[in-house]
Formats: sequence, C-alpha cells, structure tokens
Amino acid sequence: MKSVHILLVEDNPGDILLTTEALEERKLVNKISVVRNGKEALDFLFQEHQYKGETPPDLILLDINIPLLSGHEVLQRIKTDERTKEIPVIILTTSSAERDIHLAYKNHANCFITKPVDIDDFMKAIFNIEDFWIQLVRLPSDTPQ
Amino acid sequence: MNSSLKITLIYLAVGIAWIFVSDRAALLIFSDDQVKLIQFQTFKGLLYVGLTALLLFTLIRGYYRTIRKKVEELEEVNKKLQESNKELEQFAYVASHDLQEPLRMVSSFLTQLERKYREQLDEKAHQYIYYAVDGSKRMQQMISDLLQLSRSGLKEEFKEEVDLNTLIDEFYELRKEQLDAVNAKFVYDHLPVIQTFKSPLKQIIHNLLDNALKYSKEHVPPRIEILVTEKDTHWEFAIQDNGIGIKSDYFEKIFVIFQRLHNKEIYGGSGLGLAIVKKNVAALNGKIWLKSKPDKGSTFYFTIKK
Repeated sequence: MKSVHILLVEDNPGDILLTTEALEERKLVNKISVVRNGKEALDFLFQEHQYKGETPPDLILLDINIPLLSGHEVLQRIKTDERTKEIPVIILTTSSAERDIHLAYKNHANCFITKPVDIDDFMKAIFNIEDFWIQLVRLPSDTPQ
Repeated sequence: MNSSLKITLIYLAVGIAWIFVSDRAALLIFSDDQVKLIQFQTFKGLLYVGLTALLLFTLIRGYYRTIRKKVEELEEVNKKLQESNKELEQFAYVASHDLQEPLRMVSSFLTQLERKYREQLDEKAHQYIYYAVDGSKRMQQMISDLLQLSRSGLKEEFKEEVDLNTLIDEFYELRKEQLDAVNAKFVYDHLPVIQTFKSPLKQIIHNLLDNALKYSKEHVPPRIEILVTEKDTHWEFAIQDNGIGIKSDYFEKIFVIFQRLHNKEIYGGSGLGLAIVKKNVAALNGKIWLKSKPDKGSTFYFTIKK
C-alpha cells in the first residue's frame, strides 16, 4: 500500500479532532501533520524554522479562515512556487461564499469543499476525499519524475 | 383654503383695488392734460409690472429653495437608509454564518459521543444527547432561515424570462424523496413563461409549496394545485392544498416572524417561512392573502406586478 502524508491546515481544534479521527478511521493515511495558521503552513511546506527536515505532504487540506495568513494567501504561495505547486490542495472550509469559491479556483485550488454542517455528511465528505484523492487519483508524489 | 389660492386672491384683490384707486386719482390730478395722464399711466404700468416681477421672482426662488432643500434632505436620508440596510444584511449574514460554527461543534461532538460510547451510556444519557442534538439542529434551521429572511426581497438587477413550469420542476427535484414518500401530487396546466425577478419569485413559490406539503393531513396524499392567471397589471397565483387548513382568526398571525400555530414536535420549522414569502411579495409590488377552512385545506393567493 502506498504511504500517504496529509497536511491539515486548520485552526479550530474541534475540526482538527473531527478531521483527523475521520481520516484515521479508514487507515488509508499514514501520516497527518497539523498546522494551526497560515504562517506555520508555509514554514512547514518550505521546511523553515521549526519544520526543518519535514517531509513534504502528498495532499493539503486547507481552511480559508485561519490566522496570520488567510487560506487564499497560503494557496497563492503554494501554487506559485516551483517546489510546492504540484501538491494537490483541497480547500475545506465553512465558507460557501461565491467570492471565496471563485478566488480559490483562480488561485488554482484543486477542489473546493464546504464543510457539511451535519456530522454524518462531514464524515462522508472526508471519506469521499480519501476515496477520490488517495484511492482513485494518481498523485504526483508517487510518480517518478 | 390652500396657500396658493390665498396668495392668488390677495394678489388679485390688491391689483384690482390698485388699478381702480390709482386710475381715479390720476383722473383727478391730470384731468386736463391727456399727455401727462398717459405718461403717468405708462409709468404706473411699468411700476406694477416691475413690482409683480420682483414678487414673482422672490416667491419662485423661495419655493425652489425649499424644494431643493427637501430633496437634498431626502437624498441624505435615503443614502443613510440604504447604508444601514446594507449593514443590517451584512450583519445578519455574518452573524448567522458565525453562529453556525459553534453550533456545528456542539452537535458534531454530541453525535460522536453517542456513536463511540454507545455501549457505556445508559438510556437516560441517550435521551439527554437526543434533546441536545435536536435543540442544536433546530437552532441551525432557525439561523439558516434568518439568513434567508435577511437576503429575501433582494432582486436581481434585471427582470428575466422565468418559466414557471421549471420553477415547479426544480422544487420537485429538491424534495423528491419527501414528495414520493407521501405520494404527493401537483396539479397544474401548462404554466406561462413570465418576465420577472427570478429569485424572489422562486422563494415565494418554494416556501408556499413547502407549507402545503408540511401541513398536509395524516394518511391523505397531499394534492397541490397551482393556478396562474394573467390580469391587466399583474399576475395572480393561487396555490391550493388539501391539508389541515387554518382558522380565519389566525390569517393575520401566520405572516408574523417567528409566529407558529403548532407545537414544534408536531410541525417543525422556525416560523419564518411566510414572513419570507411576504417580504418577497412586497418586493415584487404584490399582495398576498388566503382562503382556508380547518380540515378543508388552504389556498394562498399572491400577485406580482408585471
């Protein structure tokens, strides 16, 4: 089985717990790294400061309303940097605002998901992400250059 | 007497009196010199015209100044109103959006608690969780209805062609499971395509259909008839159901925000549906009314301006 490393960028501790629990339930993901704001997300991805020597993730789950740098700013940095632009970014947010959706796709988000309010639907959404992005899709990270 | 008539009459009275009196006086003074008399009359006429012109000028200027001031005041008030309306809508949107967040945490973790610790919890604990989850779900519904209310009455920039048949089809797609479960039936002839603002009309029709469905009689398949009639200046809609009906005492009350006629356990909902409908009908320059008898069903009528 391929090993998959997901970076979760999320500031709400409740959502972190729910998402990581849901991701662990299916045992498709080997490693989940969590960062709580936009600055840490970039530090993690570019292996700076406390994240020196971190392995880059195969997939990024990115919230929009996060401290320091917004999800949009983080996304833009990811998608304009040669080192990170290949990594698929899934926007996972409470926002359903048209503005956020358009801006995210303009910045080359790979998909945009509004967090379902209902817990069962939320779990289903996470499972769907796993089914699609881990089982169905071929990721750049497991394809030799 | 209104002031414009008063001013005109005073003007006439003064003018006529002045003509007669001054003519008599002139005749007395210049009785034997016709040239002088004519010169005097010419001077008198010029003076009179000059004075009235001055009077007219002052009156009109004063009048326009007042109007302009009023218009400016109104524009100012209007601007402030628009701003505060916008702020209010923004506030309602942000508030309801941000209110959802903690509520989602409450219901999510209670559900997780129930799911993961099912075996360790006794009957009572499950009941507590049920009521807590139910409460937060109802609050979620209320918030999302409030959000809809805050956005309702907003029109698109332009009218567009709206196919009413499509509007009903969209509702059918949205509520398919629910409709099939109770064997609901829509009755309507081919409905017209009309020029209007789509989103308020859609909210009106969907909310009324939701109500017709919700307040149906137990064990009787809902039958909802939709009728659209073209009038000179407006379209008239009628949505008739075979549901539980409403006592005429409550006809006014049902349009009031948060007003409910039933216990939440029997008929759910936040009591905002018809308030949303009413606001949208007003935005389309129409009226709404109903005919209903308990146990016989209700017909909701509304108009929208062409």
